[in-house]
Amino acid sequence: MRLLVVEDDDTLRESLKEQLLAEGYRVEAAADGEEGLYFAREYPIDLAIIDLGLPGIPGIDLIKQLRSAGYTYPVLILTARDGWQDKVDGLQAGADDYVSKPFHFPEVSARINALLRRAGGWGSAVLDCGVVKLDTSAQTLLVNDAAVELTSFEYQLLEYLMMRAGEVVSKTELTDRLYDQDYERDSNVIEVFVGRLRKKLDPDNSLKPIETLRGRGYRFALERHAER
Amino acid sequence: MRSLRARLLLVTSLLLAGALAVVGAILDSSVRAALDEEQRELLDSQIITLLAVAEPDEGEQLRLPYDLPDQRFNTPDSGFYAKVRDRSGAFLWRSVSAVDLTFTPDTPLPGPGERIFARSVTSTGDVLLTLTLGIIWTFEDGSERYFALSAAESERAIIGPLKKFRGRMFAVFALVAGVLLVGMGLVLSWLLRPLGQIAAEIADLETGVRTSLSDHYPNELSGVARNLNTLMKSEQRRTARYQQTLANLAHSLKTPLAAAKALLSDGTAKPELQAQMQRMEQIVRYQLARPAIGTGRTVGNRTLIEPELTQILDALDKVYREKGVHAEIDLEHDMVFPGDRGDLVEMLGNLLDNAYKWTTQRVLVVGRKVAHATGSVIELSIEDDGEGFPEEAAAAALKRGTRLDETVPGTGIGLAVVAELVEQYEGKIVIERSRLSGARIAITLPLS
Repeated sequence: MRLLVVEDDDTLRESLKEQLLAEGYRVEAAADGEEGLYFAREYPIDLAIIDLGLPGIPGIDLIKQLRSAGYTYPVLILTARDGWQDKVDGLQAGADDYVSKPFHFPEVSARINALLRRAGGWGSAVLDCGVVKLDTSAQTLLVNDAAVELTSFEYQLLEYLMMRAGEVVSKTELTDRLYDQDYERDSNVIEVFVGRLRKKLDPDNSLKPIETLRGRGYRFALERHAER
Repeated sequence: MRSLRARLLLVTSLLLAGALAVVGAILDSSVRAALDEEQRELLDSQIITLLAVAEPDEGEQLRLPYDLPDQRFNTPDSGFYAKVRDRSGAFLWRSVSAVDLTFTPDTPLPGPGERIFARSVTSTGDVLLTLTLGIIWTFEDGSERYFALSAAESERAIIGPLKKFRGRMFAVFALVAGVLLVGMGLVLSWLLRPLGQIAAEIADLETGVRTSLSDHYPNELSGVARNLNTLMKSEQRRTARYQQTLANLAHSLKTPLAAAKALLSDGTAKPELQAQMQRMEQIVRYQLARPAIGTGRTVGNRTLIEPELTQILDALDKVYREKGVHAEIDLEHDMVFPGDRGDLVEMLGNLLDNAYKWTTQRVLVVGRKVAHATGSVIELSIEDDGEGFPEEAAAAALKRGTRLDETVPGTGIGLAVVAELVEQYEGKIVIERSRLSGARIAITLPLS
């Protein structure tokens, strides 16, 4: 998952970036609205974290510009003004949730997780596809109720596929979302990791959880377990 | 006497009554004098008539016939009398009508050729107007003697017309006074109308119907209206500037605080430093929170509730989208909050956020305007169908910084913020169990 962070305070931005990277996200960090818009146009973003009090283009305007440019991914507001009016204004401008400063990072992390799940059509923290259950808050995988260990990259890949369970996700999209930009684009890393995931999820090849659609990409094929 | 109109009407009535009394007295006495004069002339002609029929007799006295031409002199108690006296004042003759009358004291004797007009009281208590003429009669033998001829008429004759006049005068005066007072009343209403209007406009300011006084007042009041407007504007500006400054202060402190916290989170810092950071964070959160810098109630500051409520519900529906909260609003469209929009949004935001956080599905917002003897209030209640809360938690929830349940994300000061705002608006806040099973938070705010 690739996140866009727009925050003008250097220390806060860098520490956010570090903590998000540590959680396995790809992060584009911008110091102002202009730069934020640039990154938004240049990279495939899955979620934006925007400070409302930005120099230049105010956070609210940045959100409006993103929305009118057709970007529909979730936007999380960081606001130092904890007045409700600012929150309401931000949400009306197109944001999806807010966190008041000063915040605890786990809170931001939980909100990001929830927004990403919601964007994928998931209502709860556990992506439940019957035999395969991925707990996105604990970052654990259960297959037939047995815990399965995943590396960080495997987890990111599976999470991305399961978030969009039922949809076709192209290899390019996966590369963009999961690689750092300095990776080689046409390496076969994705194929290798999909293969490893298949082995871990479906050792006896009976489940076939991840389909390969030649020339189009991959699809997580297990049905989402009906919620509620 | 609290009313200007009553004061003016009272003073005017007193002055009017005084003026009419003086005019009445003057008119009454002039009419009386005119009637007296008329009477005097009448009596004068009677005396001339008496003289015409007077004849000297042998005893060198004046003799008048008993049967006078004017029959009223011949009828007892007719009110018309005549008499002739000599120099000593002794009666020489008196008319038939005056036979049994005694005059004590008798009217004075005038000098020859003089007339005396006087009032006297008879033995029967009748008041007589008497004209007496002194004459020197020259007899045929050339001797001259003094006689005093009097003609008198009872005052009754002029009392009638006088009474009639007085009656008419009172009627006319009453009419004039009535017309003047009614006219005065009308003029007063006209004059005082701007005062009534300014009072109504100030009431409108309080209820938020208008934000400033209009500018079409008469010269004497336009200054007041203008100054009031200026005062209110400068007050609003000052409050806004003050809030802005504090909000900026809070804002500029929070970002470095967040950064510092992030830096400290790696666990390498001394615990004392962590504790100090925690304190700083609390100070910024609590001291610079909305109630600390809020406006409270100010004149002319009203906010329509419904649009703000809808806006907040829309925002919360977004944040809690996956919960699928069903919010019901039962509120009149024109219901107003007696204060600043920011304060309203803050209260509703915190209360609704809590309700959305705790609800299973339903959130109910009810607003009512209630008229009490002591003034109107608005009652706003927000309930949810969550699990509710333990009794003792209710009081604690209203204190700043207390979180009912630490596991639910939130700033933990929401309810306390609302409680403090409610206090600033001199209102009340009650936390109780909702019929929907969850919590019901009801706030009551005075409208004026």
